[in-house]
Amino acid sequence: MRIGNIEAHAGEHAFSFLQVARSRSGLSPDIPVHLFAGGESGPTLLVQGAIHGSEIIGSMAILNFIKKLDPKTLRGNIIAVPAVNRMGFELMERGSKIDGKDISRLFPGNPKGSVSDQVAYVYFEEVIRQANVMIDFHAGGRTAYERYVLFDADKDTNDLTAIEAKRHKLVVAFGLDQAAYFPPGTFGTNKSKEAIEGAGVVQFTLEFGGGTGWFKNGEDNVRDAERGIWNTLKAMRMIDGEFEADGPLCTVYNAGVVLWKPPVDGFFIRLKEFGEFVKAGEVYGRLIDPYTGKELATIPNTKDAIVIPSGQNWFTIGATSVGILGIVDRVEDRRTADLYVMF
Amino acid sequence: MKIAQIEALPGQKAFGFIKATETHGGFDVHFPLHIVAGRRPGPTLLVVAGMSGLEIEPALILPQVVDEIDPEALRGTLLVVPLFNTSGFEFEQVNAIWDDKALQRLGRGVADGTVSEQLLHCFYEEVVRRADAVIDIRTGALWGYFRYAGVYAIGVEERGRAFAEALGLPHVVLGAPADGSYAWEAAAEGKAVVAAWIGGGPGLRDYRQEDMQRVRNAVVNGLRQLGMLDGGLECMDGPVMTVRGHTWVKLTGPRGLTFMAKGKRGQMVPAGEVIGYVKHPFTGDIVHEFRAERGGLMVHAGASWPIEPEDAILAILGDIVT
Repeated sequence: MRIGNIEAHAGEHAFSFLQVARSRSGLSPDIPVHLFAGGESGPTLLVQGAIHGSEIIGSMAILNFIKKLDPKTLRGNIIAVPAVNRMGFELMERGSKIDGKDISRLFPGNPKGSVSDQVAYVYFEEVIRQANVMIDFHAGGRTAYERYVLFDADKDTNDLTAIEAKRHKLVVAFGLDQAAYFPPGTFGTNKSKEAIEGAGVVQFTLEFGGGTGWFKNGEDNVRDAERGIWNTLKAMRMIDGEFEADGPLCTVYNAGVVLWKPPVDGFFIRLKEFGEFVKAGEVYGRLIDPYTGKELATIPNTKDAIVIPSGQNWFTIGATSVGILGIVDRVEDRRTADLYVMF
Repeated sequence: MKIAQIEALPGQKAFGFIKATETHGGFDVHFPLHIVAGRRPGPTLLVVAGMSGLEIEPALILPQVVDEIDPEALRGTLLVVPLFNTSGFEFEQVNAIWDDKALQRLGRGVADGTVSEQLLHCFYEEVVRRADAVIDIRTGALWGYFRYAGVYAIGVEERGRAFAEALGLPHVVLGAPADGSYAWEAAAEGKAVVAAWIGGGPGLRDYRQEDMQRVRNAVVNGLRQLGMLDGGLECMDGPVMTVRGHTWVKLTGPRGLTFMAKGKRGQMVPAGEVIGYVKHPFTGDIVHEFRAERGGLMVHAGASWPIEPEDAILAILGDIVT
């Protein structure tokens, strides 16, 4: 298997930096890529972390995963990328300091664009196109905490495409007890995801962990993120073994309620806990004056729904949602579900 | 008491911003101050938080503590700065935005220095000099998580130690090294000074309410230790253990993903024991190990965020005193 300047023969592991672009001063955000070429043929799994540079739980899980992976016993290939956005990772920032762009929103990229456009182009052509399945690890950065599998909504629930049908299985197989999708249009059109799906890649995202839960749950999340990678390999029949999970059930949410902060600013205090049912009109959070403690505004919930495990815990928030709530779409039972996908 | 334009008569509370200077563009360089003037005379306690623009959690509870204190029952004066570095807070960074200075490193400031140096000078002369005791509340910002009271290795240690042991935090660490702060300067003057390290982002999801209670208790317990309020110690962490710190571990060697042994917090560690390691961020190889140079009690160790600022405190070890 070959990706750009990196090559691994059957049964081998290779590591190097995929050459992508140069900034005006010669900075090179080249991407660290591990290739594991299986001893037998099979599908290709791409597992990537830190495309948002501060979201590093998946990166740590990938590092632990690759230390245990023996390519000789593998059917197919694995591309493991611990930090797609190396400049963001360095500075613990979501985007790239070089041009301020979010690489995850740039696929399929542009070879004549800014540095991040070029990075996205090379990565899309050299890496993503080679994958059958792509696990994209995100997290709450340093200011939030999350724990669910996120995937694209089905275009027609009565007539799933081949990619959607496979994704349904992989989302459950990953092993978390909660998954969610955003109804079309919730956050506008995501052309990156359209491009990835257009390339025939089954893609899903992990919103997994974050800095504000690091003290108590950091190690748990790294462990369970790694567990999910192994489960995905099993579902793709790249290795043998039993699935391990949070529990037998996976609740899938239609995450159609997104709450934003009001026009005033101050200290944000979230009042509702993960999994809590909140009625329309109930106060989800407050904004208070940082010097006097006086209340500046409240953030009401807009629709009866359950708080998805996704929340800002830090007191200052930027142009991001402060709450995601949803209704239960379905509950999948791993004891009876077929979790295997074929390529 | 009157400080600049903020005045609270005995039995009153007052709040305002004390302006030190202006920037080129005319923005105020200032800090917020609450004054709670007790009905009866007594000492003055100064409580300060948020010298770093990212150490903002105490500001969630300090205004409530001000609300809680009844000036009629108070002897002396309580001064509270809930979030000193207003510009760092505004722009979500450690340093002041106006001149990129770390306010925690500016000591007593400079009367004709940069705007931040002027700010510290104003603060020290107008506020710190009036205080008999100081609680400087620190947090781990976005990176670290702490629960201890530090006493500087300068000034009258017994005064600082007695004050620190009364605050109710689980550990008191004696011998904290010079850090360039106003608090160090205040300790050097013989004031009872505690650097109370409470909370930080990595514990925020799970321990916010607890840590807010620790901040509140530290202030109220401090008032009681000084005889400014009646009542006994309020403590949620059991007996206080005092340690003389001998090792403050910071980043050395190769950088990468840093992991310290969280499970060794509060435990005795022998000399030579591995207390943390650095993992290569892209290969996962262990590229560095931190070992205890001396045995001792591990007061602080992880779980700090794996990518640390260069001067972050990764671990503290010391000898048990009591």
